[in-house]
Amino acid sequence: MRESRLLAAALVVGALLGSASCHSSQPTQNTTQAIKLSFGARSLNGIWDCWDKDPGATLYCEQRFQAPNVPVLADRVTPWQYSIEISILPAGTVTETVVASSATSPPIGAPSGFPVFGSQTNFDTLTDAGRVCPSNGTPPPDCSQYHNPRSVGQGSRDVTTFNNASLTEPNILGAPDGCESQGDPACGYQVTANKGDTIIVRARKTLRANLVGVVQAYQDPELTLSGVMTVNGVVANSLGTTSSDISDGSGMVFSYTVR
Amino acid sequence: MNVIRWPAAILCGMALALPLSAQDTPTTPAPTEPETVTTKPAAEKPKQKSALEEPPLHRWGAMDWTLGAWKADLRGSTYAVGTVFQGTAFSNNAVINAPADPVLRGMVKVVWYLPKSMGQLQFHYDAFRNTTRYSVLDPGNFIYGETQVLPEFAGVANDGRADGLAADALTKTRRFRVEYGHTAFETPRSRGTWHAGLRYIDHSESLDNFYYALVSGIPPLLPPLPSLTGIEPNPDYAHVGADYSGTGVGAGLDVEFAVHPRIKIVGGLSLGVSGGKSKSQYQSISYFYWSTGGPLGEKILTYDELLYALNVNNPDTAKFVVQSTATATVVDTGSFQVVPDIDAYLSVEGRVWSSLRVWAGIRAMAYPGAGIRIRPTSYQLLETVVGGPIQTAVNTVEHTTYSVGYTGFMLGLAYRF
Repeated sequence: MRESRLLAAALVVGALLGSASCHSSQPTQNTTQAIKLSFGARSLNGIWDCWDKDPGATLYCEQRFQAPNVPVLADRVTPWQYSIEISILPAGTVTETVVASSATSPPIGAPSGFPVFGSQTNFDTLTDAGRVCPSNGTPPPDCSQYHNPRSVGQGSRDVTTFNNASLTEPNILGAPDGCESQGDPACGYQVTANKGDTIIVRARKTLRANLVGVVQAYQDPELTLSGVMTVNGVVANSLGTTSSDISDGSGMVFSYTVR
Repeated sequence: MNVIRWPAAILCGMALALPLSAQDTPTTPAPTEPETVTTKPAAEKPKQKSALEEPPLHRWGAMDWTLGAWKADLRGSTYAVGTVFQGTAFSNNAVINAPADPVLRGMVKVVWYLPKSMGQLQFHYDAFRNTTRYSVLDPGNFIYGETQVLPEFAGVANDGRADGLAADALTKTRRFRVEYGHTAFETPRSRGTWHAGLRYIDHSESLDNFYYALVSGIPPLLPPLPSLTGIEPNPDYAHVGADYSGTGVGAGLDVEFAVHPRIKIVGGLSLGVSGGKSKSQYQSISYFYWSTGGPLGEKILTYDELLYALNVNNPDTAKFVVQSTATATVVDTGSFQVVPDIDAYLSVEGRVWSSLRVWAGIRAMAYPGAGIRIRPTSYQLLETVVGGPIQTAVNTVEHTTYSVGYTGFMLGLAYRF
């Protein structure tokens, strides 16, 4: 009888030893980081002169040419509209989740009814000294009616307004994106991700036929769309292509894994 | 393994029935005749049994049950699931081997000591099972080589690179031994027991690999591109498997040395060889893209052509892009294989009571050549319809033999009936 009890006790001890393979561990802590996404565009664009014309300070602009049908061109910031989709690939997984998209119906992570190409890069804000008086027109215009001369790019607010381009305010999925610097943390679309997660950004330019008057039509404007991610205000080192090809309607894919 | 069940069933029945029948039934002493008074010498008192001595044999003998547990590290059967390339320096290229985590497993040994010093029958059962789930995911960083799939169409860019891989590996081994043993030598402090008999061995290993393009470089499937489905790259896949089942013979020697009345050092070595059938299989599935018409015509697309086709400047080209598979499968079912097995252990055993012992030690087992894996070395892509999958005709394969081993610390109890 005593032997039976000892045997039972030994078996219990053995079971306890066997369960020694079990262990528990504290769950890992996730660190959430503030990540901002911003876009910009550049092109080989025309140079224009603009004035405020009397009466009523009406906007008037003329394109500069160095020869007949040979416009003066320069590499300039260009407001351009694009489609965009942002996904999160959680750490340790292979399936991404779309957290924002203008390409779905209804859009995700954007105001209701947000159009597919509703996101838009900033206007060209560079201004130089302009010609005193316009040169076009027969008879020559009365220069005294033209005030505030300035030289601006075709992607400026003045020229795009003058050309009746179908532009909106700079934004990314409805969040303001009109800062001077793409890396400015005050602008851009905020993405929340945990440590180890990968943020995947996909975007495509709208076709030139959909946005007339924003870029010159004399030769290939070589329009590129580029994106940048900042983490706590510092530009992140992204993988992939952060700048699109110059071909019409092309796009890019880039990603950033939160460290 | 029906042969194993019958001895086990018989063993269980004997273990339950024999101890009960071991009790002697009382008998009525024969009546004695009156006799003249004589003085008889006082009967000697029976020698008091020591608690450290082994219990005496019953009429049917005795039975020793040993149960043990150990975490066996898997050795030898490495699973090379990929490579990583981080530059041309010598140390920056490495093979990625899926690590196997040791798993707590049990072993059973039953020894039936036959009466009248006729020897002993031994029954051993060992089982091992190691599973591994391994992954390395590095989205957008295409530095991982897809070593297990065939090179044609491997990787989204057809360059054999992925930005993530995952592997599932399963290794199983079972061994059952039935042996007869007897004392080889015996001294006041040591004893050797030889044993020899039959053994049955099963071994199988399986590896499934997935290679991903988590952030592929193909143009985003967004407007103004027309709506397309099934274009996102699917993960390439490879499967490698091997199975062996055989019977054979073996022999061994166990030696125990008493260092203390309660403590013994026990060690043993067993060698055997088995023969049986081996089966191996290999499968590779990789993905590629067709153009089924339009400006690019009917053709398999290179990576550059795929990028061109998905450029919205060519909307009529994009709608002709489809994704398809290239599959290679080969099975070897008829190989005869001879597998030796080696088993060695060293333990310390302590007697808790006359019938109960605890023991702890280390053990190593090896099965050289138990795993045979195959892989195509020459093959031919077969013609198919436009947009359809490609089958592969395998011409020759290479066989790679792997040894399997297990090592680890063990702990257990033994009880003698």
